[in-house]
Amino acid sequence: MNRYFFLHAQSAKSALVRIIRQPFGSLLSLATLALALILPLILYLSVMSVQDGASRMSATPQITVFMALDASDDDLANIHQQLKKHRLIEYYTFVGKNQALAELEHQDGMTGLTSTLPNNPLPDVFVVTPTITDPEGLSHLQKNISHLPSVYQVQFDLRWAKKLHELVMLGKKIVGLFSVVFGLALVLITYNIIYMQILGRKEEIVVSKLIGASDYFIRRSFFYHAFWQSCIAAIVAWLGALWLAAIVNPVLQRFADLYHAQAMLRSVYWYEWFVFTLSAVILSLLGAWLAVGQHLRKLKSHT
Amino acid sequence: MIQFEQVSKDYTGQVQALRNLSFSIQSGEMVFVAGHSGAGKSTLLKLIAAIERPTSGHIIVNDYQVSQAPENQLHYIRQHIGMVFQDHKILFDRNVFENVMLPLDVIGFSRKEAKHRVEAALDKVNLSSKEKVSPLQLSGGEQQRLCIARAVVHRPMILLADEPSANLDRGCALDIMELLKSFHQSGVTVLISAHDETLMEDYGRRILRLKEGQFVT
Repeated sequence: MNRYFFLHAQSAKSALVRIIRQPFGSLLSLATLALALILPLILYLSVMSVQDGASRMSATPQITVFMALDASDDDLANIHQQLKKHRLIEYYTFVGKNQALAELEHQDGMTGLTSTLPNNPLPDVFVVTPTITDPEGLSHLQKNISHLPSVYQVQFDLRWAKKLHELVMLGKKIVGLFSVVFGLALVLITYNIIYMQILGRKEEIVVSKLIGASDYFIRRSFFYHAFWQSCIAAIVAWLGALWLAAIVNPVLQRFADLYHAQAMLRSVYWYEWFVFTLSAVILSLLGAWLAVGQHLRKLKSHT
Repeated sequence: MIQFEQVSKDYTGQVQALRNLSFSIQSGEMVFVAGHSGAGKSTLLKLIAAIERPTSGHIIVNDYQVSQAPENQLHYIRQHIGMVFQDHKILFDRNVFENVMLPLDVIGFSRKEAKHRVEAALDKVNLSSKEKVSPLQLSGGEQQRLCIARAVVHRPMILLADEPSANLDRGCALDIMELLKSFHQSGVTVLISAHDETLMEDYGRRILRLKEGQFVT
């Protein structure tokens, strides 16, 4: 077992030394791999940022219950009770008419509003967050609440929420599709890079085989080469994503400010980077396995 | 140690390199294989080193059926044999030390032990002062000594030398022969192929003469 780890450690070290000893050649390969990795990473972060923003805007549709202007305190207490015990309602908030008017007055251009109005035109409002998201269920709930006494109107915009939800799902599907495409590209790029390295080390492979190197010995060398390349490329891709986010976010936020909203391209969480790097390593190893396997098959007939 | 039983080797079904060869070489023996170009000398050595497979017959090396060995076992056989190739097969992208180190990397020696062995092998072939030199800067004789060092660094029981004195002047050729003889004296079974029989005569060893793939007396 010790010998097994020693051989792997030796191969890993040799592969890393070889990359460092050929800086220019390695840089070109790494840049190619990093570009193949950074594009799906940016796409993923974009979609996840939109999803995070959508969840802050509440993708779950909310139902607004407007009470009649002449609704009494008893009527309001009754609605409180009904909503509290309703099984399809997760929670609700109450915005009294006086509170609503005060909040309105605090907005730009609305100062001194109450002095111009003879009475408060705003109704008491309950903002209900349901436990369900399906359109039929929500429609049924809307009807139920609208039949409660002293309820003037019940509103919710299911269509907008569905649109946002579908947009996020579309984004995820596109990310998935692009991930497959870029994953394939990564395998092929690594295949080509490793194959070029095999051609460059062809003499060494032939001599090594003649003096007793097993196929496993040859493969191990190139596997660790692919491993290091993909790890370094993943780090470069991550740094590239950070740099892009640093450039784009100020511009994005200035645009979002126009709509009184928050928008930014978020960074990669540590577990996402771990999965991302692991995927890159596995795909690179697959490319290396294909390249080395093909070359060894060709070599068999000569050695 | 080495036994051939009715061994034949055909290339692409048309060129018959060896025909029904039978012989044996005892452990610790030094044997020459003589013959003109195309006689089958290199093929014979490659068959022993499991670089080629016989078309028919059996080859037994150290009680192991080399001719029947599965593909994934061939590298074990080669690791126990040292071979000096006719075309040298020196790697010019690395220095002398790294060339000699290659068999030890393949087998998996520790760096410390490998360094010690490489230094000992280079010392034996008088190339200690040229460790860090590129093989391109070596003379023909020095390159041949480099090949010998690489072949013996892992202390094989069998040493095969394919035309080790080819393209060398007589002085260098004799130096190479003396070097190979010194390895034989330390107990290694040595098999040397050459077309110049005058080099062999001084050693009083068995000579296997090949002509068109068959032994001649």
